[in-house]
Amino acid sequence: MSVYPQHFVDPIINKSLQKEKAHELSHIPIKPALNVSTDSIFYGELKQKFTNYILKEGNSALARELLTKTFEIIKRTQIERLHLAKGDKGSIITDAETLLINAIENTRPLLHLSAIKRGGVKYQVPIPLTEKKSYFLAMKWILEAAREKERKVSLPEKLAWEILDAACGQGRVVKRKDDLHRLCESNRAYAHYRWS
Amino acid sequence: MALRVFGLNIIKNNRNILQNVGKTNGVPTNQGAAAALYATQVTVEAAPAAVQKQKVSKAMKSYLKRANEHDEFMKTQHLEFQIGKRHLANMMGADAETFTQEDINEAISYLFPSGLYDKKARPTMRTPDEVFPARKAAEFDETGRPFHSMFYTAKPNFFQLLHDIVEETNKLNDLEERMLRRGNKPDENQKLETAGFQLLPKEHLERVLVEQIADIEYQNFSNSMERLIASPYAYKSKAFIERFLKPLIDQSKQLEVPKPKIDEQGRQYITTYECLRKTARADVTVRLPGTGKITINGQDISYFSVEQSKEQLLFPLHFCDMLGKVDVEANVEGGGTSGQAGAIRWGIAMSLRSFVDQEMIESMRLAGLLTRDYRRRERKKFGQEGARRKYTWKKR
Amino acid sequence: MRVPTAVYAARGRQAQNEKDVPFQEILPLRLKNTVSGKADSGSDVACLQEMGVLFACLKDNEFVEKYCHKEISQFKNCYKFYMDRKLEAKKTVNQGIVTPGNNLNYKQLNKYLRRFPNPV
Repeated sequence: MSVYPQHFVDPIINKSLQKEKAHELSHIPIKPALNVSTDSIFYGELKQKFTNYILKEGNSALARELLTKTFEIIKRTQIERLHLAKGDKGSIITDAETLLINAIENTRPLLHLSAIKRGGVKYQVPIPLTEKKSYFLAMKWILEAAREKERKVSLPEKLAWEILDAACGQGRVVKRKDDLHRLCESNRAYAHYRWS
Repeated sequence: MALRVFGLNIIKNNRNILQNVGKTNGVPTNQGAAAALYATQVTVEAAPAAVQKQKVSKAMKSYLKRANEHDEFMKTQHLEFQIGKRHLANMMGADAETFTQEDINEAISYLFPSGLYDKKARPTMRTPDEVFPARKAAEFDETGRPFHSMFYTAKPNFFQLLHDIVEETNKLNDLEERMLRRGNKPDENQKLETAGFQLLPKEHLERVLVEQIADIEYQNFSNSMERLIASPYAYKSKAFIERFLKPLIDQSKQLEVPKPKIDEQGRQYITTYECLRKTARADVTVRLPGTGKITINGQDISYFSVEQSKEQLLFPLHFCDMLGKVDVEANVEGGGTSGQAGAIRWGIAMSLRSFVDQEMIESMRLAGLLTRDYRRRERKKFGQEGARRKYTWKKR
Repeated sequence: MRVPTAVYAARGRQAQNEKDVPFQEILPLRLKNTVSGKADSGSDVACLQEMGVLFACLKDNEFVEKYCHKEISQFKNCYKFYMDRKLEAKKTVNQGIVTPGNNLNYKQLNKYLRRFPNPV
């Protein structure tokens, strides 16, 4: 359903990546760069994706602002921790984006359960997840946990806590992932039931 | 080579079959190919008296009739075209003798303005040779015997081509085997370069062959061509392969880079008009020795309140490392924030081409900065909640 | 005298007499030159072995993933490899493009059979 013909290729913004593919792409037309992509150092693909998941009703400016605020809170708490810590200051990460990436990596599920009907009985069958889907679930769970809050607490605050928790492998989101894995483990007997 | 992996027997069988085919078809095909490579013109001459006495087959008779009719038709069409051209030239007050096709197009778009969206649906006038495509000449003699051995495949030219490709491939395979036995390796320097080339597209091939081809047949053609090109000795039959390759245009050299002009202060500048994105329209001027000043509709970069739009403006400048080295002036109207920012981004990128080297232009192209963004808002469909979303399904 | 049926049963059923029931060739005694594609739906079950190993490891370590890096990466690689294969197959095998090998799709088999039909 794209406006561009099929032989158009997605743009590559990273210059070192461009060099690798320059030869084979020299005769192929390129799609225009999206209006969210830049070559600024503040651009991260996962960060961009996460902003899109925060987005509600197309208000992307607000979504971006919320994530920036979250990062600010993360940075502040981490620096505070860094100053309070006695010895071993190297292990505390203060970069908010790395923390977000760590949090997402820590909450990525490997498997999920899908209901399959066999002989009138529904079985919960563990199925491996694709990379894309597992990233999606991780981000969705973090956001769901962040949105489940009291009225007084703002989203950036709660989101910052969740990200900080998940980044060190604790918190509700990591627990949710582990629960899913436990469920999959208890249903492992049905794993060969898959078809389609 | 798919064939060679199945085992020796199959190869031998296949070879034999292929050779047999070659033998049976060899003599007539060569003659046919030598006589005329894909005869395209319709040539009808009144049959000589000697032939008339002979028995002329029914097929030839009806062909001659059809060909005569076609010739008559084309003649009248040509005449009408000439008259029409004269009329047009008269109306436009030009000389009819020197009235070219370009003038005709111009005259028609002036005299018959059309708001039809599809350009093919608008009125045109072209030579009858273009409008009525060439047809095949007679493929059989007066007694009804076809010249071509593959006449009854209904697509003799196409199947002849396939046959030629396979013959060429077999030749190369034999060569490879002989070379292997001798311990020679293919010449790396002469390797066939196909990166900047493309196989003839289907329509083009159809025009060359003067035959309609089905999709699957084109697939067969491209598969066998790829097999031929993949051979390590493909450079030996370079002339044959190149007949069916079309050079691709180097994308970054496609658009000519404008030369910068000099303004009254002695600075170089380039203005790009009609920078479009969504419903926004802008014109952007970039001046070379500058301090990085950005002016949009008389305001500075704070014309955009959204951070993303500001980032978009700086994207091409930062990408080319020209931030703070050029001044940008833009006038923009219509559209929303992101549309306006996108329009200006494109304008800046297009203008910057004049001030950077070829390598950077190619880099900008790969980053997608030089392509116009044609995407528009997708319309809402009836029976649906929006462009794609369906109404919630309710049983009753 | 009544003979117990079990005695005959031990010998098995006796063959029909060819004279009483003459052989009729209702269908030609030759294999068809095609195979049906019905049974070729294929199963989606992949990486069961790896999954089992992973579950065992996770259970031993109380679902802490950092102790099972090896198993996790093996599982992921296996699934990725499987998906890649599937995508590749979609491009080649399911189009009926013939490739050498013994695990052939019904479309490929049909292509081969058409090329080398049963002698009539």
